[in-house]
Amino acid sequence: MNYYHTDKTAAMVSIAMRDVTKRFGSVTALDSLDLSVHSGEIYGFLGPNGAGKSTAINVLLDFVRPTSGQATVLGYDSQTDSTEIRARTGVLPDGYQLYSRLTGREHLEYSIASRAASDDPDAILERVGIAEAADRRAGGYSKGMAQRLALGMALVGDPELLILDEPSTGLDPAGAREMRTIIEEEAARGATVFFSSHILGQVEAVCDRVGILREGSLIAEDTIDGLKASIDSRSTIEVTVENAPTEIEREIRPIHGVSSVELSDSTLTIDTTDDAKMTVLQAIESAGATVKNVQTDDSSLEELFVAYTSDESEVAQ
Amino acid sequence: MSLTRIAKKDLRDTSRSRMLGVVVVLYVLFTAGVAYIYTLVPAIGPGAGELSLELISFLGAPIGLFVPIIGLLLGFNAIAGELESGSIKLLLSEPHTRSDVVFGKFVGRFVVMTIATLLGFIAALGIVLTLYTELSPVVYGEYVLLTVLFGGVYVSLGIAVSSLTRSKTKATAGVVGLFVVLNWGWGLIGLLLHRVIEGSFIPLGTVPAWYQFFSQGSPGGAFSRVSNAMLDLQGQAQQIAVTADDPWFLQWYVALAILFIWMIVPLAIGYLRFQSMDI
Repeated sequence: MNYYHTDKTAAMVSIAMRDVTKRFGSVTALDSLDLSVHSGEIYGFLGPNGAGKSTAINVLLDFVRPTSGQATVLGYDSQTDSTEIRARTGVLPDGYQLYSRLTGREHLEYSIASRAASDDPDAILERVGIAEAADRRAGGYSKGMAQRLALGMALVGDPELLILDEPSTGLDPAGAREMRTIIEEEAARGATVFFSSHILGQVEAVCDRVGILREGSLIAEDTIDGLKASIDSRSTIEVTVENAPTEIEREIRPIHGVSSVELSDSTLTIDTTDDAKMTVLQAIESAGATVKNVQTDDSSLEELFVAYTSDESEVAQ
Repeated sequence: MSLTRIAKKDLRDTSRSRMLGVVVVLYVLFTAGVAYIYTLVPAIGPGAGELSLELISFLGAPIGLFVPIIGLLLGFNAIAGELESGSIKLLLSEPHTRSDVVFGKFVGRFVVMTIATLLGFIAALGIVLTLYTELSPVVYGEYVLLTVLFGGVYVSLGIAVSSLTRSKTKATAGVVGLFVVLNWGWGLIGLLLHRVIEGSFIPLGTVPAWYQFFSQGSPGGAFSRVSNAMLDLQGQAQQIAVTADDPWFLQWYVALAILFIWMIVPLAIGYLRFQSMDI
C-alpha cells in the first residue's frame, strides 16, 4: 500500500511535477518545471519542437531520471514506483519503433499479457482502424499504421491515465480526427488524458486545459479561453540595466506574473503580466542594478500563438 | 510474470531473424558434416574407442566456432538495437522493470541459443546413429549440457557489449572485437606472457601451471578443459596434460566455475548499465 493514496489532494492530481530539472551534459532540457494535471481532465501539453515535452514525459515514465526535483503520477513516485505507474497508464511514446518481425496482433498480445488484461486484440485493432493488417509484420506498416497500433497498445486494459506523446504524428487529417474521437471516448469513460503537441489546433479542440512549454519551463497554463484572455494583459519588457548582479534573474523569476527572464549583455528580457511590471522594476532596483531604459512589447504570447496557428495551417494544406 | 513476457516476446522476435537463420543452418550443416567425416575415418572412428567420446572431440571444432558466433549474434542487439530504434520505449511502456528486460532478454535469447545447439547435436547424432548403434548417452548428454552453458556465456557476453553503447554499429564492432580477442587474442597474449616470464614463446619441457591456468581462463579454454575431463573421467586413453596431481586451480571443476563466471559477470554488467541508463 502506498502512503500517497491516503493523501486526498494527491488522489485528485494525476500528474504532479515539482521543480523538475533535467540536464543532458551542458544542455538543460527541463528547467525547474512545475506541472499539475487533474484527475479526469484532458490536458494538452503544448510547445515547439525541442521545448522539452518528450523529456518531461520520459521523466514521468522513468525512461530518464531527473537531475533534480520530483514527479508523481497517480500518487506514485516516478522513480521508486515506476511499475505501479506504468501498470495504470497507457503510453504512446514518441520516437519509438515497432518490432518489425512481429505482427500487429503480436504487439497487442505482448501488451495484453504484460498487463494481465482481458482485451480482445481484434476489437482493439478494429477500434484503431487497422484490423485488416492484424497478421502482417509491423516492418511493413506505414507511419500512420504504426501510430495507430501504438495507440492501440496504449488502450489495453482501460488505463486510468493515458500519456500520449505527439499522438497525431504520421496521421492524415482524417486519422487525426479519429485520434481525437478516441481521446474523447477515453476521457468519457473516466480516464485522465495527458497529450503533447506542437500544434495549437489539435489541442484546442479537445483539451480542458493546456500548458505551454518553452525551453524547459511552463510559460502558461490555463484553459484555452483563459489563455486567449490573458494575451491582452501580458507583455514583454526589455530593461537595459547597469551594475546588474550576476544572479539577477533569480530575483525576478519568482515574482507572481513573471513567466520568463533572460539576461544578455545588459538587457533583461522579461515576459510578465501587465500588473506585475512595477514589481519587476522595483525588484531590479532593489537587487542593486540601475535601470537605464525600459521598452515594452505587448504581443509576446500572441506571437507565440501565431507561431502555433501557422504550424496548424501548414498541416491543413 | 514480467520476465517471462519479455522472454517470450524476444524469443518470437529473434527467432525470426534471417541472419540468425542462415548462421544456424550453417552450424547444423557443419556439425552434421563433421559427424559424417568422423564415420568415414576408420582409424579414429568406431573401433578405436567408444563412439560418442571420439565424436565429441570431433565436434569441438564446429562448436568452438559457431556457438560463440550465434551467441554474440543473439546478444549484441539486445539493448543497443532497441535503444537505437526506440522500440525499448514500447517495451518499457508496459509495467516491467529494467531487470525484467535484461534478464528476460537473456532468457529468451538463451532459449533460442539452446534450440540451435540442440539442432546441431541432433543432426550429428542422427548421422552417426544411422551408421552405428554404439553410444554412451551419459557422456553425450553431459557434453550437450556443457555446450548449452557455453552458449549461455556468449549470449551473456553479447548482451554486456550491447549495454555499453546506444549504437547498433558500435555493438557490432564490439562483438566482432570480443570474438577475435577471446578466440585468438587470448592465446596470443598467453604466448607473449610466456615469452616475458619464461623466456620462450612456447613451453619447453614442462608446461608452467600459471600458463595452463591462463589458457583455460578464456571461455573456449575452460570449455575444452571441462570436455577433456569428461573423456578422462570415462577412463579414455586421452593425452591430457593435467592430472589429479596438478594444483587444484587446474582441475576441471575450476574450469566449470570459470565458465559460470563468464556467464554471470557480463550479464551483471549489462544489468547495472541498463539500470542507470536514460532511454
